[in-house]
Amino acid sequence: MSEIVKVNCISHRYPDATEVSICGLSFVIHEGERVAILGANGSGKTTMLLHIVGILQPTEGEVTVFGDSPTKSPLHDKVAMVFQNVDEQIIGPTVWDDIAFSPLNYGHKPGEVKNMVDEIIKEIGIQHLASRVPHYLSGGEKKKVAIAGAVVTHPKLLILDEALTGLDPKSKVEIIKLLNRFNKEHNIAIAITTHEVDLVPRIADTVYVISNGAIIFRGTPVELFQQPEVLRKANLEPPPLIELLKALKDEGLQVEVSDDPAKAKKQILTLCKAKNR
Amino acid sequence: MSAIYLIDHYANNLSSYMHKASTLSKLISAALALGITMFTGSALALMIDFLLILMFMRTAKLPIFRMLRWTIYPAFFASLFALSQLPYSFILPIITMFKAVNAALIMLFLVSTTPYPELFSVISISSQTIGNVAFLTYRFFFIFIDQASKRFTAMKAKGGLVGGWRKRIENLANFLGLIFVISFEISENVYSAMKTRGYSGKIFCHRKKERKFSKNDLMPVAFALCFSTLMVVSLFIREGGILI
Amino acid sequence: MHIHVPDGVLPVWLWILGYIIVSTFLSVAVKKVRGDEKRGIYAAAMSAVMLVAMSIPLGVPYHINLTVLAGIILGPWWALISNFVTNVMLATFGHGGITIVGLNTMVTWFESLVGLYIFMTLQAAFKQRKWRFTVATGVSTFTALMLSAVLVIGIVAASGINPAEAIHHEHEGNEESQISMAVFTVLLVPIALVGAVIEAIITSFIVMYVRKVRPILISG
Repeated sequence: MSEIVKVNCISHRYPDATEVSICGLSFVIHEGERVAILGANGSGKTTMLLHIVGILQPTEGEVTVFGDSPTKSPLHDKVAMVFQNVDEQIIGPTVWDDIAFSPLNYGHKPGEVKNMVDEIIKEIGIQHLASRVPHYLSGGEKKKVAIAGAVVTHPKLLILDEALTGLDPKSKVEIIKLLNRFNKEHNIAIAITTHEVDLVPRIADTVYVISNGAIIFRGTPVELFQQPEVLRKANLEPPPLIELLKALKDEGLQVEVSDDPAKAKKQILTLCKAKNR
Repeated sequence: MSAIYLIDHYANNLSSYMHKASTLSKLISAALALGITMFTGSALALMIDFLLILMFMRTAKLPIFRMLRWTIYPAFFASLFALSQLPYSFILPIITMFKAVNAALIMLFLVSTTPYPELFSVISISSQTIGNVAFLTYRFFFIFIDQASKRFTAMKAKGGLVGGWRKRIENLANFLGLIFVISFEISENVYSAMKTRGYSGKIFCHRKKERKFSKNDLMPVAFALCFSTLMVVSLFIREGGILI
Repeated sequence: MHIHVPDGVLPVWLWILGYIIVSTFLSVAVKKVRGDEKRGIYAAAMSAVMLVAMSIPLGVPYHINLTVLAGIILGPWWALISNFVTNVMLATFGHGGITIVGLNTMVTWFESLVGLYIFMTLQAAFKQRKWRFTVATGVSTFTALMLSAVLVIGIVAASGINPAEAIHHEHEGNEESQISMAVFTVLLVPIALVGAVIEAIITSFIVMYVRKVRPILISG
C-alpha cells in the first residue's frame, strides 16, 4: 500500500502566539487505510489534521499529501474533511444544495452533479432529508449530511475531526458502519480523531497516540490495548474490559488482553472453571 | 424568539396552497399588491386590503396576531408621520398608517410562505456576489442566533441582567462583543471548510425545485386579483364623486 | 439610523431614484471586491451579526445598528453590500420599508463611511494612547448617526411631500399644505439623539471587548 500522507515533526505558531508541536514518531497514512488518532483535548490532533488538508502551514517540519505539500499544491477533490462542528461546514440552503456544493465548485456539470448527489444521498440513506433546511436537522442527521458533502466527489482520503463526539450510541454505530462501508467499497482512506478509546477497534486498522506534543505510539488497536499505560500517559482511560484483563494478566493468569467481550467472557469462564476444579 | 427564526419556520414547515405555490407567482402577486397599496389614495380600500391580507394569512395557517405584533415597528414610525399630518387632514393619517402596515404585512406574508433561499436566488440572478452574501447571511444568522441565545440564557442565569442600568448596559455590550468575536471565529472556520470543499469565490446554490405553475398558484393570483379589484372599484367610486 | 419613513409616504420618484443609485454603487462594489472572497464571508457574518443585534429587544422601538462597526471591519465596498443585504432582510420581516431599501442602504452606508473615516482619523491621531480605539469608536458612531439623522431629515424635506396631492381629492387650495417638517424634526431629533448615544456606548464597549479578546479583528 502506497503512502498518501506523511507528517514529520511539525510546529505551528497561531496568531495569538500559541505554539503547537507534534514530533516523536512520524505519522503516515497508506492508501485505503483506516487510522485513528487518539489524544486528550489540546494535544494537537486537530492542528495536525488542518496541516494535512492545507489550511495551516507548518512553521517547522514537513507535511506531504499525495507526494506534494498541501499548501503549495491544491488537493482538490483528493482529500475531504468533516469538521468537528458540522454547523460550520453545512452552508447550503438545503441538504441537497449543500452536498452539491463541492462538485459544482470543482467544475462538474449540473447534470453530472445531480447524479453524484442523488447517488450519495441514496447510499447514505438520507433521501428523506434532501429538501430539508439544515438548521432543523438533528446532530446525527447533520453529521450524515456533512459526511455526504465530503464523500460526494469520491476523495481518496477522508479526514474526520471528532466526528463521533456528541452523538448518541445508535448514531455512533450508524456513522461507524457508514465509514467502514466507504472504506471497503470505495477504498477511501480514513483518518479520524477521537478520545473514545473503546470505539477505536471498530474504526481503525492503525492507531496513533499523541501526548504532550509527541506521537508516542503507532500500532494496531490490539497492540495498543496490550499497553494501557500508553493511554494513561496520554491522559486517556483504557476501556474497563481492557483494565480488567490487564489486571488479571498482571496477577499471573493466562489471559489475552482484548477488547472483544465474547473472547473475554470465554477466557474468564475458562479461568473460573479451572479454579472450581 | 427572533422574528426571522419564526418566519423561516413558517416558510419551511407549514403547508398550505400558498406555501405550495411557485416562488414566481408569489413574487409577482406580492409586487402587484405592494404597488397597488403604494398608489391607492383610498382609506376605505386600504382598510379592506388590510382585512384581506389577514384573511389570506389565515388560509396560509399563519398566526395573524403575531404577524400584527411584528408590524408595530413600522406602525410606530408611521404614527410619527401621521401625527405631523393631523393638522391638515383626518383621512391622510389613516392612509399613512394603513399603507405602512399593509406593506409590512404583504412582505411578511411573502417571506412566511416562501423560504428565504428561494427569494435570494432571485438576487443571485443579478449578482452572484450579493446572492452569495445573502445566502451565507441566512445560514450564519441561524448559527449565531443559536450561540447568542445559549449565551444570553447563561448570562441571565448568572445575574447579568440584575442590578443597576449601568451594569446591565455593560453586560449587554460585553455580551454583544462576545457574540461578535464568536461570529467572526465561526466565519473563519466556515471559510476554511469552504476552501477544503473547493470554494473559489463562487457559491453555487441551485435550488432543486420544480418551477412549474400549478393549481396552487391560484392562491397568489386570487390575492393579487382582490387587490386589483378593490383599486379599480375605489377609482370608480372616486370618479363618481363619493369621497372615501 | 434607518429612514423610518413608512412605505407610501415618500414620492415614487424618490424611492425609485434610491434604488437606481444603490444599484449603481452596488455594481461598482461588486467589481471592487472581486478576488477578496474571504472578506465576503466576513460581510455575511457582519450582516448576520447586525440582524442578531437587531433581534435583541431593548423594550423601546430602537434597535442597535452596528453600521459603523461594519464600516470599520469590512471597509467601504463590502460594507455597502453587507448593509444592502441587511436592509433587504429587515424590510421583509416586519421592519417595513421595502420601497425604501435603496434609500435606507444609502443612509446606512453613509453612516459606515463617515464612521470609518472618523474612526481612522481619530485612532491615527491618538496613536500612542491605549484608549484610542474605544474613544474613536464612540465619537465616530455618535457623529455618524447624528449626521445620518440630518440626512434623513434632508431627504424627507427634499421629497417635498404635499399631503393635498397625496389624497388626490379636490381641496380648497391650501397653499401651505406641506408636511409639517417642524413637527417631524421635533419628533425625530430626540429619538436620533438617544439612539446615537446608546449605539455609541454599546459599540465602544464591543470594541473594548474585542480589543481585549481578539485585537486583530479591529486594528489600526
